[in-house]
Amino acid sequence: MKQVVLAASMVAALAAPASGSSYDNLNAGIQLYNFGQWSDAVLALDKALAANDLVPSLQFIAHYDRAWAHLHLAHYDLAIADYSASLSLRPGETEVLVNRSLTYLNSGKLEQAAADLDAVIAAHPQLAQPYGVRAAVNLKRGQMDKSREDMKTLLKLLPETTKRGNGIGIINWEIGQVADAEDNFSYEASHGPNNIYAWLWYTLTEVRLGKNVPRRSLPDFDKTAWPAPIIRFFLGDIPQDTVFTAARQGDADATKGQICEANFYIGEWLMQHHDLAGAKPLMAKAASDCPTNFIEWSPAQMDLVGLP
Amino acid sequence: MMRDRVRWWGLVAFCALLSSGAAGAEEAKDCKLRALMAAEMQTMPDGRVAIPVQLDGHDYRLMVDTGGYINTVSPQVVKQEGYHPLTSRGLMLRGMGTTKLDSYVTVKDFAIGRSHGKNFEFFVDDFSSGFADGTLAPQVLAAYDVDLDFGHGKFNLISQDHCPGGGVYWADAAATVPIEIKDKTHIRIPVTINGKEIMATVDTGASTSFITMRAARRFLDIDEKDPALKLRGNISINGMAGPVYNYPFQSLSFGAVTVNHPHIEMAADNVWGEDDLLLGIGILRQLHIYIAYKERKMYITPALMN
Repeated sequence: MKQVVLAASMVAALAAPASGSSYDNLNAGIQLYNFGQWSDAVLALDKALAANDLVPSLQFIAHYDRAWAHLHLAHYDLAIADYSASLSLRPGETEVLVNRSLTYLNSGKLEQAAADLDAVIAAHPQLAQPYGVRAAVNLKRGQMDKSREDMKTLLKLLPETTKRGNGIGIINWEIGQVADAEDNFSYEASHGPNNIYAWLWYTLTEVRLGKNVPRRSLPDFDKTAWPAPIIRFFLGDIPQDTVFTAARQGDADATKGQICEANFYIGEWLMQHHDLAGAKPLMAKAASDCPTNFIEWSPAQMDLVGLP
Repeated sequence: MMRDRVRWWGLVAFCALLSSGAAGAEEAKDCKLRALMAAEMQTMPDGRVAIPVQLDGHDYRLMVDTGGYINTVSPQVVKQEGYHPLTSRGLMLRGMGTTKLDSYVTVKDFAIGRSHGKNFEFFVDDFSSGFADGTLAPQVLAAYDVDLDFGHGKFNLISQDHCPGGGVYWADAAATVPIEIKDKTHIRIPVTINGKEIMATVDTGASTSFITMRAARRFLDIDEKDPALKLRGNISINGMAGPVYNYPFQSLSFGAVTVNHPHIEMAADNVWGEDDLLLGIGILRQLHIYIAYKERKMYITPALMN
């Protein structure tokens, strides 16, 4: 169209709302997504998609953001439907496939999760993240060796700048790179935001390496709060029964997590001290009862398998 | 981000990029706009946008970042392409917090559309998004007219060689806003918030719009005691942390084009100590924006005019 000088008659038109209804709703949905207001984001994106008049690239992101919102609301089937809709608009999009696999994983559809991840890895073998998710999927399928292989590949592919943190330390622990695990947990115990749990892992690593409990590295911690009883057990101050008594204090959510951690850390402690008979029932409980979003869940599954 | 010390990596290569793709520029006297690159804009989950490029013949996506200085690629790209980063003396980027970039890679063949640049330098920056592999900054953008058609999901790089005022191709009229270029790269434009004028930085790389408390006090007569100010929470950006607030702004105008109820967060002085307003993608994507860097003008309409 031809440009004309901005005429007074145009001013009123230009002062109107910025865009059409679907597009306005999309922008509102994106903003609510950014705020983490998942239910409201779903409502806005429902409206954005209802008229089916967004261009395909915008439909793609509307479905993607709505899928993410559904995932946070634990609406797994709806999330999968939206991820699939995104993929129909942009087939093979890595991030969507990985997120759909995570949703499949959360909803227990392990074979579908593995299929998405296999496709991503075949297309992009140098991408690190899919190996991490597939390691978790294989873990849930009980395929420990495959899971460890994926963890090894993940570590190889991660950029050096991201090879820090308790999660990376745990991967090192699981694939037998104990010195790297020691380095990670030692660093995290003095620098990381979760330094108390890093210290617990650091202690287990030192014991696994035949070293002493790293008392000097123990960060300041609240002696009246969880997981202080586990720390005191590691220091030899209290017996394990006292840890379990403390773990049962609190509301249902708190005690579930605390009992998981008591089982896991004492089980690992006994394992590293070669008390395999004492360790096995505790690790079995940790493997079956720990919430899947706890960092102890994965190592509980894997280390239980190693117990006779 | 604001520049502190910049080494102008890639200027020579940048010129090569321009010359190789600007076929027909000498014919521009007929006032037709010539798109040197037209791409489908890929909207990222937070609303920012990326465009397809090629690095040494391989497909990647770079986020369009009018608020950046230097093009960047992620460590994942470095790993995938087998680049060997070199250490520079360090590039300090200051704005909301400070980021130091101290390594760069050389891309032998950098392609945007049909345009190719040889031996192009990209700084390495942790940019974690599954939808973009780095950023495209004014180091490249400023050599073109940049057309951001958010409503239709289109991105165009257009030759700057056209008649004055020739940029508005999609509408009969548009708000024409003069732009200042700060630090050689950043676009500053006058806007009106709640009836009061203030200069703003246009930053497509920011997912959120911010105004500093200092600017709000100085230009908008809003201070910390204003009862309408609501604490939104704490943010941490590039090593700087502090509270941010919501404020019920009624309108934000670019000449005759108005965005109603713009979401602009107010950042405490310790987060960002300048007198500034940063217009992020949440507001910008409600518009169709044509940035004529050479003309020093920006043409703006609502996102969907037709």
